[in-house]
Amino acid sequence: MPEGEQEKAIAEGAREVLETMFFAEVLGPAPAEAVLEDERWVRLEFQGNPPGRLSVGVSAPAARRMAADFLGVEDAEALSEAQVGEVLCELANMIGGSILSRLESETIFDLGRPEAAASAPEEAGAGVVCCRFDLGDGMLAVRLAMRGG
Amino acid sequence: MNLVIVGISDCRLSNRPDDALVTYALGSCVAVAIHDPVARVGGLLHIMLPESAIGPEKARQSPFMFVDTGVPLLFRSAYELGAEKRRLTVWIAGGAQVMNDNGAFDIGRRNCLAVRKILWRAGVLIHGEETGGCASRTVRLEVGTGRFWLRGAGETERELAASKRGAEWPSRS
Amino acid sequence: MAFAILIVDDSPAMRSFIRRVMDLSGLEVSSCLEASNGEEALDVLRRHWVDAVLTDINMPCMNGEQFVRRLGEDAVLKSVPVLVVSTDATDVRIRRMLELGVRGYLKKPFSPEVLREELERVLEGSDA
Repeated sequence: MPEGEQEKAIAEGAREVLETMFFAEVLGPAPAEAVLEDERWVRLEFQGNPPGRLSVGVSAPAARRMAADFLGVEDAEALSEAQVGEVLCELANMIGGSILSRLESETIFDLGRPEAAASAPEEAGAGVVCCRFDLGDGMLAVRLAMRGG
Repeated sequence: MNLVIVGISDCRLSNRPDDALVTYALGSCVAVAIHDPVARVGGLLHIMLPESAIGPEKARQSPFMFVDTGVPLLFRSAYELGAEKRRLTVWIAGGAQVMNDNGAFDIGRRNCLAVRKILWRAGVLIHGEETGGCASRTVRLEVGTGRFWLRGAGETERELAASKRGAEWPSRS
Repeated sequence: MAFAILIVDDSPAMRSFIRRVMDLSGLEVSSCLEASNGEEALDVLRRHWVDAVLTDINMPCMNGEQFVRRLGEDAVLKSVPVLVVSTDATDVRIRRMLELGVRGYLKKPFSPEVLREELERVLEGSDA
């Protein structure tokens, strides 16, 4: 896969999802020194050619605001933690689909069920691509790990 | 037809059938037009910026400048003239990218997002939309008929129907 | 004419989003039923008539493709129009779902307005 193709798919996929159903803008890449604080992570496995894992992390205040915007709820504080979690799972599902459709359009891919993760993913190294985006009131991180080929 | 001109950061409403609300030179600005065909009430808003938080005092003087102050006021004013939310047809137009600097000043896109978000949260779906691109637009709402017309720079005027972006309609062989 | 719709998606958030669009659409939806996978959906359809089904693809227990295939094997259910609403927009998947007779294929993410238009189109073409 040409270098940079995964980063491009992640950036385009994330922006498309955020703008279309969350009415949220991605202000650009997060500064290199920025740290994702008080974050919520969701991960999902996917089968395809190649298979892999996607992890999506969002700063907690931004996650709550995004959930309210998605559901069309005026008062973000009125949402339960479970509701915010459900929206984040769907966010990860759609970002995953958006990325993989760009990378694997000729073959079927199957997205596994998104699940809340207790902590940030640990995978690093070759084959793992991580992109972080500035949301204004927080950060979105997308980590894509595709196995083999 | 009696043309009622809506300026930048301005809003006009009418319940007179002979009126047509018009606003010109929509670059990065967004126009929101609403019409109730039963009450025969129309409103047209020309917004410049997404959020009033950057200038609360300015927003108090000029609420129609911002999406978050202007859109609610447009709707409330229409209700005062007898319009009902569930009967309203809504169009949005504008939000072009007018500064060529790699999107650093992408006010057009930000205005569109802000309008779409506030309408979704208010429980209003958009009937027709023409946004983005690079060209300036002029729009006109006929109060008597509820017809919405749009003209891009250098184009002839055309009526704006409901948009059909994004759906993958499978074609049968 | 009021319509009964079945939404099949394992995401409660997405079911809420779709339900909200239906509420705001101006379409007369008399009942909006939900299921979180194909098996649950078949169970709902054994007990309720619907005018249209909106279904995701990637779901546990029975995915959307298996579900639509089962609908096609039923003499009555095969006439119910199906609109796919899925993150999967690969050519292969779209082709396979077309061959199974779905009336539309809407790729996530989508705006509320696009969903409303697809719903109107599918319901207008229904036999109800």
